[in-house]
Amino acid sequence: MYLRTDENGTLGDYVGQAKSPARYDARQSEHSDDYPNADFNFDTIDRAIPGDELRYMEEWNMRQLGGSQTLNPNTPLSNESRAMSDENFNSFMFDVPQIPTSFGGAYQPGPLGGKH
Amino acid sequence: MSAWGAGSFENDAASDWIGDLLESKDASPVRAALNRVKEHDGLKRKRFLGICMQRQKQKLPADTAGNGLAAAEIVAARFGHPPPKLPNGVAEWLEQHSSLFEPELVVIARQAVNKIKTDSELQQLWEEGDARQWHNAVTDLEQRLTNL
Repeated sequence: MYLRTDENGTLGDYVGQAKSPARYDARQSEHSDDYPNADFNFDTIDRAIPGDELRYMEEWNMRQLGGSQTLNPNTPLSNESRAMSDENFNSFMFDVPQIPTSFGGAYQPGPLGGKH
Repeated sequence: MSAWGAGSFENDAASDWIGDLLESKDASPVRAALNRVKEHDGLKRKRFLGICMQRQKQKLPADTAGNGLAAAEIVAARFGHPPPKLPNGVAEWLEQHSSLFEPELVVIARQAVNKIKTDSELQQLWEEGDARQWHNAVTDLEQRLTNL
């Protein structure tokens, strides 16, 4: 998961995903190509397994930061649509296997409270 | 699958998919992306240890639909009707691989786009707001595929 911010302040922040570090590197150039007048910074804000888990995390992070433009016209984000429907978002929470308490101590719960 | 624009390539899922395509030596990613759309039967299978335990209704997922639209754009571009802007490297890739595209892909692309437009999570997400730009982009793609 990444957060794109524009140093020029012209474009709103954007929450996005890339399925690998290589794609994340490429994505930064793609955004800059699409918006040549912007001065973007990219920060990794979370990590998840590509697929539904990554989409879930993307949706979760977008909700924390104001939501997409389709749902909230006053959002500070420039995300034009969101990552996951309510139906899939809610059902995904119950699909994720719970991590055993005897995991060994290395596991630190993330922003989902241990859901990923 | 969030998006920074309504165009078929203006989202993270399509960008990741294009990256995979450019590394491919044939048209199999295009066929696979279109077939995943075509073959989605509206059900999600929950598996445990590889065994299907439960089925539940699920619309065609947004990222599968996004990849399908990107694949359909590649088909339209291959057969002479590209969108105004293709991602970097795609035109060169098509020059090298155009002979590997079978005309049958046009039919599968049309079917996939119709399904995404009428019954997908992606359609649902866009229609939560003003979806005119997305519908215009999809209709434009449909017309370019119809004119082939």
